[in-house]
Amino acid sequence: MRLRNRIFLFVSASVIGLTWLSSVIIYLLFAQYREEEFQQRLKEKIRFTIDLIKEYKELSSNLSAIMDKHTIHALYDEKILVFDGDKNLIYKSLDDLPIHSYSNLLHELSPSNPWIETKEGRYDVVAVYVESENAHFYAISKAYDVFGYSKLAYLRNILVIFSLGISLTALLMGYYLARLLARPISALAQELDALSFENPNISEISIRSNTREIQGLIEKFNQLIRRTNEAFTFQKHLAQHISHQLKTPLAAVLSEMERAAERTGNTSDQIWLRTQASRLKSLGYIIDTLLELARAESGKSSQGHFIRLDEILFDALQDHRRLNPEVIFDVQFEPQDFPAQRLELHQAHPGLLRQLFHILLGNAIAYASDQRVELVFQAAPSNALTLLFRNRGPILNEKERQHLFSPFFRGSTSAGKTGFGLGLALARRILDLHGAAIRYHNPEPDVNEFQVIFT
Amino acid sequence: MKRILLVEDDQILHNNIEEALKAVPYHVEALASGYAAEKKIKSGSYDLAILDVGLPGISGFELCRLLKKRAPATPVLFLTAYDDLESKIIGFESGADDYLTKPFFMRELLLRVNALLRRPVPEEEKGPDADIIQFDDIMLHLKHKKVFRQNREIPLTPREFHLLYSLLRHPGELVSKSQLLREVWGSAVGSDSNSVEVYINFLRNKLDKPFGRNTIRTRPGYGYYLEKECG
Repeated sequence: MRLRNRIFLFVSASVIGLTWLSSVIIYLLFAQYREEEFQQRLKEKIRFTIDLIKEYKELSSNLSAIMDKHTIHALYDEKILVFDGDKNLIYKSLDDLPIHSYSNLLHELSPSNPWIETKEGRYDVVAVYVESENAHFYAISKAYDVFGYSKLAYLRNILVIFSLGISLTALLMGYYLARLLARPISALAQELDALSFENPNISEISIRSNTREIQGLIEKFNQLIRRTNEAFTFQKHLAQHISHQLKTPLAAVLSEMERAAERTGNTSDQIWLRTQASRLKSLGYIIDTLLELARAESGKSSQGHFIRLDEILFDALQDHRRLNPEVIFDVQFEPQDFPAQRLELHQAHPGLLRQLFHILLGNAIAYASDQRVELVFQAAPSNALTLLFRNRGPILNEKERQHLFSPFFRGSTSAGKTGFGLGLALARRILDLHGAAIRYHNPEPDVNEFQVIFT
Repeated sequence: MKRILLVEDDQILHNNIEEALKAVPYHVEALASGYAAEKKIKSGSYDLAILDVGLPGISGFELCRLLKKRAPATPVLFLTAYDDLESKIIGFESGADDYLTKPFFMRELLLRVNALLRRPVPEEEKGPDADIIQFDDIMLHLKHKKVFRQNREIPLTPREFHLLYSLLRHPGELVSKSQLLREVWGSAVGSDSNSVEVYINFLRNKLDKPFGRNTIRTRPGYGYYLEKECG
């Protein structure tokens, strides 16, 4: 549930509930008060009647008339029965209102139980035992509290109107307050929703609030964003710094080795120096690949580059051609009406793919006995793209193949070749990152073939 | 003698590159800081600049921008320790012509330097009219590396673009497969490759078929040519 709706619900439900509860309590208390007050009035009336009876005992023939006149002027819709000490009826008001339970009440009434109050419908009934000097009386009175009920009805109407008014006001106020209170939080939530963590430079929250807690929250959040941005920037440049610190000295050492190789007159020293220079060059590729892999695997590297694999492969091929002009690259597309879409990758790391092709081309060149490398782009019927890197030369035995893609593995065929045994392990990691696979195969007894399969 | 500006802050690398370039021979002005290079760029003219990306003071990118502003035709080769895509984009946007990642063989550097110095003056610098090559309703913008047909942009990869450019340079003339292979792929691909046939097919699928045209023609055994369709 949205915060605004929650505030609205809580505020309006609390106010409306309390208002109606208060009204009900007031009504019930007043109803009780009316009842008590009316019963007291009935009791007073009974005492007054009994006093009159005692006073005008002699004028018994006129008693009823006098009493009725008193009654009619005093309370409307009233019946009163007075009994002597033996519970004989000595007076009955002229009113024809029946008291249905009078015999029971009379029976229950006694000096030890001098007051009984009950109700017959909306009528109040009181039964009372009165002891007066030397005479005892029992009296039962039933009456309808016209004025009391009228006041009660009036109070009820007032309370209903009042409660309805308060409820309506509470709804409007609740809605307004909910909007007012939730506005800064909603604005904050909207800004937070709009934050993109794909972007390495996260924008700070621009809204301001005069609510201290929310402003505090915004400031804390902006601090967090600043720290995150700093961390992003640090991580982004970390690879560059590491790379610079590692590879510039490598480049310097490599250039020194080349210079020394040129200056030395000793052929074996020259070969040794050039071999070490090649190792340094390979080390540069490995550093690049490891840094780029680390960035890609931790999600720091920019994602979603659209690339064409053939363009990257041809770029890598040109790099190798510059260094190895004697090598012939035979490139074939199968079939000739090759679907260009097969060569497209939408979520690729071009730097890593270039390193992959450098590794595979470098291997193919290094192990080619006839200085020929065959590259085949195959569009399989199953939407897959297979790249074949073939070279003629000594092949690996069955046991060696099992470890071919393990780090630091150097097969029997790599004797005398430069390298660290990391290339194919890195190639596999790069391909794993792109959802592709690599296999080693021998289509002929003296042909090494690496199959790279993009599905 | 060709004049080369070299800016590299690592002293050993700096000295060795300078020595290798002078041995060719080239006239080399070798500097170790961005500030010194800035002054030289403002006062001198060069046939090529080799710039390290991470220089103290002013970065290689900034120097490249400054150089390209003063002499747009001067090619710039960047030496970089980390060749991630973002850095390359910044580099090419600032006007870089080529990149070389450290560590590198000196032979590799010299080959690139030679290639950049041999490169003909770009067509766009021969005059404003040379920027656009038009054939029939096909327009090729050299400067922006964009191709339009019937005013609709056709997205082409660099080699597809280069292949079309090679055909457009000889409008209506037969261009042999070996010539296209040499111009687009250099010497990287052997003559037995069917890359030209495949890329011609890619071009046709992008440039001809969607428009119901048949501009790129094949003459079996001879090569390819462009032909305007009548009507």
